[in-house]
Amino acid sequence: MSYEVLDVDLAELKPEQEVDVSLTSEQDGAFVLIRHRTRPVGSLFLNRNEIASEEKGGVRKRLEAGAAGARVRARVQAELNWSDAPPTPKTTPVTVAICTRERPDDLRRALHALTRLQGDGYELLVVDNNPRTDATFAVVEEFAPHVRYVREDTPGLNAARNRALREARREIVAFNDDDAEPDPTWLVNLARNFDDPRVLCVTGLVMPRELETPSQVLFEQHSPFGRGFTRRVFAGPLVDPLAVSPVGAGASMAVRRTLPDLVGDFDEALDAGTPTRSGGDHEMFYRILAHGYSIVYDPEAVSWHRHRRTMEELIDTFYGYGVGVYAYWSRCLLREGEWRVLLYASNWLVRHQLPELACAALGRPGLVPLPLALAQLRGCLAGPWAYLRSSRRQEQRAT
Amino acid sequence: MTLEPQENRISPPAIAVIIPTHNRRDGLLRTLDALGKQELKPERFEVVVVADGCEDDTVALVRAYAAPYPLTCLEQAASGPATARNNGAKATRAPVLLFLDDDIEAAPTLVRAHLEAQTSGDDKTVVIGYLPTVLTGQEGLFRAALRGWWEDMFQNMAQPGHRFTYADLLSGNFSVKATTFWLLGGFDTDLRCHEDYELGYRLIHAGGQLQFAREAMGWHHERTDIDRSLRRKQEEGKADIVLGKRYPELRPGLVFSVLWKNRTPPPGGGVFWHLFAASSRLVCYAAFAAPGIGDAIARIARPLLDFLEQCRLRHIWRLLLNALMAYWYWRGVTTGLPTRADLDTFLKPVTVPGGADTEMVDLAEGIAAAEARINRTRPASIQIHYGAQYVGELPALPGAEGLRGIHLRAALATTLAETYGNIAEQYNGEAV
Repeated sequence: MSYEVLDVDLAELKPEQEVDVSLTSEQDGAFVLIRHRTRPVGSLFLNRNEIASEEKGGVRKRLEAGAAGARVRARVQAELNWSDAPPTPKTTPVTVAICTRERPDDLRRALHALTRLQGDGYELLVVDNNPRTDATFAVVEEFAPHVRYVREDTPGLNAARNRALREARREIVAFNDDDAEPDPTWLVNLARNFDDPRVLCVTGLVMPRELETPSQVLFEQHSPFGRGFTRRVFAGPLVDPLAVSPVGAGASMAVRRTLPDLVGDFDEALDAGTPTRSGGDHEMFYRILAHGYSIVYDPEAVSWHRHRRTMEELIDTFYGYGVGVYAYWSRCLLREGEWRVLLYASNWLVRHQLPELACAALGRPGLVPLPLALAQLRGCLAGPWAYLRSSRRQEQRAT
Repeated sequence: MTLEPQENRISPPAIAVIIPTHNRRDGLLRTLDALGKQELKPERFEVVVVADGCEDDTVALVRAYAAPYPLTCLEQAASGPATARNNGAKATRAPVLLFLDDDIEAAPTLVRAHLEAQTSGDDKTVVIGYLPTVLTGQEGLFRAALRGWWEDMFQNMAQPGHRFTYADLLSGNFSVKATTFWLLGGFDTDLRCHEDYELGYRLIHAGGQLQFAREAMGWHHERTDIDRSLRRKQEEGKADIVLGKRYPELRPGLVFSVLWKNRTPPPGGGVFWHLFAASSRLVCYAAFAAPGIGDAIARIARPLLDFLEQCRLRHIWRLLLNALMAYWYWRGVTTGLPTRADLDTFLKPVTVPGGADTEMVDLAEGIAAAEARINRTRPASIQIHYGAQYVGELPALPGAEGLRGIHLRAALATTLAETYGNIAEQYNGEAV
């Protein structure tokens, strides 16, 4: 299974012009990010038959239909010179931080993309987390003097994030995963949302960089990073802080540098590099909302993520996701007294996980494949203990 | 009322900052200090503090205060902020009046920004400044909700397509020309609450042009807690009935009308909405028919709020808070309308004499042309068509400024975007 990934701007097409899609013989179709005047309005999987159809302008019609309301809205707003989001700031006082470990090729690609960012006054920072070799250092040297290098030996993505916040020299810190490449406008579109003093975090739209292997396609189909094409503001006082799923992904987020002073550090017992595997971003989203602050999801801040290529890695990712969610819920329960995580856990199990498992076991198409569903459940079971272990380890390190 | 002699000067200051104050000497001190750090030269403005029945050492403090700007202190018997502001305005010859509350710590740009906006405007210009909230002390659900309420208000005002209404006039940080202020007779001193809304109504009715200036900024050291907020609700209920009696067309937009509607759940509403509607009916009934019992229950329910917050039961907490607020508001309403029958009569729709002028807009003439026309005529409401097809309308809003071209543009870009876009595509025969 593989798909061609395309980025099509409908406004740039001439009248009656068709969308040209050429596939290799191995590809099953195309995945398209649909834009109107650079604004993302929808995405669509097109299979081979739909592309090769006889109908003139068939692909274009499908894309227009696929984006529907969002495209019309974008068109009208472009015509009227209007935006749902605040205006682009004149300067972007942002520290762009990449927390990375032993992925020099990915890092190099990410840094290439970051040096092409639009914006004025930003700095680039690489936090090398608990490295085994000096591969990361060597890559950063290739980009000297534009990129700062910092080494954080405490293992864990959240430890690296906290270090980035301490080392940052600008008011806003934007995190970009080492396997993600942002669009040139990514930074200005994140930064423009910080005018409102209640906003502590802004997340962006994450699209797949490539869909060349079955596991990449499965990931995009069953647990994509994208959260839709409408700008949304999650205001702490008005939403349930545990409902962090629609808020965004840590792979593309920006926070105020003063975040730790207002709501506390990222919890170093959570996320990649610790026994809890993930969940560090979700826990911080929860904490921001629980303290009454706001998070903005801005789909115009686009970045492209390279999903894991092999089936083994994908199963591991699903396992890690299960661990992370239950670990972050354990923290909420134990540290914040959020007994409602029990409701969330039972709701997820009964209304989603068990039906998915049943369908997968019965071989029904369209839902999560069995190995992935099982891996996620195994992860959930391991979650609480993983959090306790990780937490204890972190405390021992501190003393 | 005693008057301190003003310094001899060649020309009066361009702008006077009038600060009513009541027993808040620490906050007032901070306010006076912040006014000493203004970008605007101190010769160009003066400050008038009006001590409204102060029992602490406010007056002595102000009289001894060494200010870099001309500072006057007036004293009056406790008569309320409206009287205090009027008296402060009487004591100055400055052509521009800037009303500031005593818990506002001015940013260095505050006075300059107000003066610049007033200078580039005309007689009718009213400038509302920005008040970011400083939450001192505890966080907690109420404080977060309170800050949210303030920031939402300013965010709305900052939007290009915002339609200003009487309720946008916040007496804590706004400026107006002295001539216009006195033409309207200043604040209504009979009101102890919402006297700013009342002035806002008269200003808009007289053609006042309200605008928001973000640079005219001061940090609001907001100390309201739940109990203070609940006490104030009673005053607000009372004041809204006075407003509703005086200006009947405002009734549908005032809080009591909204609370009245809340008694019915929306169609298709879930459990939460039914609970909400039931609690709305209960508190309304209790306030009118059984206030003694209602008061007792309200007092018992108050500590329950804190308990709910501890248990992280946010939605129920919010339900109970809204119920308590509504209850005390209704209790204020009963001072003006003692029975439910009175309320029923009061809520009956009132026809505005003369009718509202509705302008018809045809987008086929082009949006720029339509905008220009609306800017000239400033209608109360517009109906929008595209050729023969109906697109939508901007209905009349009591107490709101006449419509401007930007309101049309804003509506087309947001609430009417899909309708307009689809119709326009049909007419143009193609997408994009």
